[in-house]
Amino acid sequence: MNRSVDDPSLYLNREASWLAFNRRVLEEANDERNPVLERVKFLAITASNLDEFFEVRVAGLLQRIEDGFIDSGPDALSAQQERELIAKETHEFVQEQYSCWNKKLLPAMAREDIRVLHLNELDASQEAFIDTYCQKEVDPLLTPVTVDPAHPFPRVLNKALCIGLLLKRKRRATGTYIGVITVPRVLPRLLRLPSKSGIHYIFLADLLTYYAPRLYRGYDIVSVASFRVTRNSNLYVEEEESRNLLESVRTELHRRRKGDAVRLEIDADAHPEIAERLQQNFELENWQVFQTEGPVNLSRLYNFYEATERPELKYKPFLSRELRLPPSSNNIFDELRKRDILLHHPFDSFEAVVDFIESAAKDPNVVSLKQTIYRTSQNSPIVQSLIAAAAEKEVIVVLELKARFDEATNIQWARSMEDAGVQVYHGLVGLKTHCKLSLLVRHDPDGVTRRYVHVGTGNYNSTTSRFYTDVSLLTASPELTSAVHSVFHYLTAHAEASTYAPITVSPLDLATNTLWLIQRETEHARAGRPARIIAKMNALLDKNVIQSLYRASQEGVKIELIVRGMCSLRPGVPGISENITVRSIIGRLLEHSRIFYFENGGEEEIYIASADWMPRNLYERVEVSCPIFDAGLKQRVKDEILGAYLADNAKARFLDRNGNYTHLRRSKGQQSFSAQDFLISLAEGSATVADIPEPITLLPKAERGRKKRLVNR
Amino acid sequence: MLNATKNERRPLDEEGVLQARYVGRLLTNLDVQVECIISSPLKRAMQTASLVANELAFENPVHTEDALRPEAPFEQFQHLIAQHRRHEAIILVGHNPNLTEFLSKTISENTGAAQVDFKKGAVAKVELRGRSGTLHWLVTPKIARALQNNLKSNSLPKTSLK
Repeated sequence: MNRSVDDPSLYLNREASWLAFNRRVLEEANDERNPVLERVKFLAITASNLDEFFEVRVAGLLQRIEDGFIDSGPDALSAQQERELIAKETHEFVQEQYSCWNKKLLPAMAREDIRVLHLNELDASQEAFIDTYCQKEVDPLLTPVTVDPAHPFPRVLNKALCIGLLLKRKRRATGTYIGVITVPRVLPRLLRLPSKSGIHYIFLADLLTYYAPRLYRGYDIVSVASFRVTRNSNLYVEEEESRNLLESVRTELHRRRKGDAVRLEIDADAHPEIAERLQQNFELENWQVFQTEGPVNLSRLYNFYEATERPELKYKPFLSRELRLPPSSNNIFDELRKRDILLHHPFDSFEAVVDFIESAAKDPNVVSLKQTIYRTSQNSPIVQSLIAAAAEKEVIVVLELKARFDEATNIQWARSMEDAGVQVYHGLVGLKTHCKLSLLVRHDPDGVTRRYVHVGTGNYNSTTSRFYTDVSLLTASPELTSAVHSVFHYLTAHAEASTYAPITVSPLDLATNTLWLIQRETEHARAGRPARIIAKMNALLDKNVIQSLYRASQEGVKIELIVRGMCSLRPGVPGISENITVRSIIGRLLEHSRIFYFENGGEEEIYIASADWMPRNLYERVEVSCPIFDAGLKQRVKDEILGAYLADNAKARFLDRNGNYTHLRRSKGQQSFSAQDFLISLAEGSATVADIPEPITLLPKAERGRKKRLVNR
Repeated sequence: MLNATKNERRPLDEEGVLQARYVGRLLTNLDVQVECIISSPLKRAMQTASLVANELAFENPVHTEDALRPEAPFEQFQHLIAQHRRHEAIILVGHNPNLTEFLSKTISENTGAAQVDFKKGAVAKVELRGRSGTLHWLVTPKIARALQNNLKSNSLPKTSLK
């Protein structure tokens, strides 16, 4: 009798899982094997991740508590319990962040002659420098505000660096005042100082705590501290109600700036009265106040990485492999008529996709271009090509207006495109357009009019495509291109087809099809046929899918999950998930691709998708899952891509049933193998697929007890 | 010349800071959305502009233009307006007496026939069609403050964003 898979104890809490993910990123910052400036960058990333966590997840949770929503996730933790969990773990995490900064990174940088100086460590020329700097650059931009109970509290912008002061009026006995100065974003948070040798920096915040008192003549300064407020950044757009979606998003965007405060970060050595008054004003509970043993805005540490010209302290840049067409093909369309092309970014350059669209835009034989855009880069060459093409061709773009934090950029693009004659659609009400599709129609030299298509797992963004891993499929297959054409019809004319086979589409049939694929594998196992699932994605949260995987494991399907971020599934639970492993790869590149392999009794199937296995992907967005038919490409995905990830024993952390992630201890003589490093070498030509070691699969039961676990090397 | 520099760098006094904040708060309550904030380069104007920008949660840098200096002529001001005609809404921060003159001329087909008491710290909304402007409203610091204090005295429930 199989155990019930409905028990809440079988699911890990989503927020706890996210925090565990961010801890893995912090591990990279603590890892001495990483170049020091990359470690600083990792620390900055943990901070901006945490910012977003507060702006979106914590804010949303507090909102739900306030509104009295008592729904829970599959783990059945209540909203209040989640809040307590978050309160405890975020405080621990922040302590670890500052410990990393103060005890590991500052000394590591100092060993490389990169120093952050305090005001009392400056030499004469540096003092002169900051005096001039303050007078010329800082003073014109700062406006001191005094908080007076008779007047409204000054507005404090989301995540802006602020200086708080505790003041006493000169020649008056009683009363303290709070002063607040918002530091304009245009001032650099990290200032390079002149130095005789080595690289010296000073934090702007330190500079200002020294300079700010001068702005308050007539007051005695009791204490100065920097602080930072984080606000609810969720947008609440009533899509059904809005006549003009673009205007509604614009207005909401404007209002986002005034969301409630959800966190206060303040110098640990601030006078308690400053913290108290601020906490009171922003109506925050104690757990929402974080005292920092260092700069309040760790995300700005990224500036160290940018500003410091010491390439030997950063990862060596690598060259992406350019797409080379054989001499028999004049252009990419010639090639696609012969065979499909698979690209694994950033090892294979994303330029090939940009070129695909650019050449279509310029080609007089291409009569129509259709494109979905979710997130794109600031000076997107793809959007520019589409704009240029609109003069002579039919150009249709389905642009998502609610790509979080990119809304303003996308609104601007919408305007520019419409001005140029592009037909801009915003997709379906209530469903974010998350699929990544390009389709063009071309009059080919042989007189046939054909469709050519790009399907991707990642955004059309040349910036992120350099450090996100993603997979692209370029094809002229009539089956696939016709299916993509139907998807565009769904997006623009809101007309559902009865099927999009061989593609599956959320929210129509992708979820049911996914469950069916897992179910089919389960039946193979039951019948004694080969049954295996390898699935790579960003997050696994959907209860239906997890239950389906549990049942598959119970019947003997071998399941390897490669999940970068949150995972609610508990692997290795006796009677439930003994046949499931979960690993997360965190390294130099951000794992972003979604790849799904089903052994299917020997008739292997491989899919790439825009969707993770999260409820939002399965039910609340328009997503696409696309099969890879070409045998050679399937082999490449299986042996090279999935093979490398499954063999990783350097950057892979394995999840245990208690929610802990640990590195695998390598046995004596076993070489370190990092999938990302290998794939880079492969692209550069210094490694081959033969160099991939055996995959790390399930451990036999006997060994599991004896395995030692290693955390935080 | 020395006096001129001192005048340039004279900061807002406490009253000036308060006035600017109240005006900023008023504009926020009116849901004013602007694409650009432009100020005279003099320190007190820049401070006014940044206080207003801060209240509006406007995060782009404030631009400075000589056309808004106390001694700048109307033609320069007109030129500045023309340069920004592609924006839907902008804020300009300047000085008297010329800013009063600019306002008056803009709403009276350049004749200056409109009599306006555009006090220090006041804000006026003008809708422009080409070069012809229509005054929509004008609020003095006193009014801005009275409105805000009136709001304060009503109990506002704490609500998050919906």
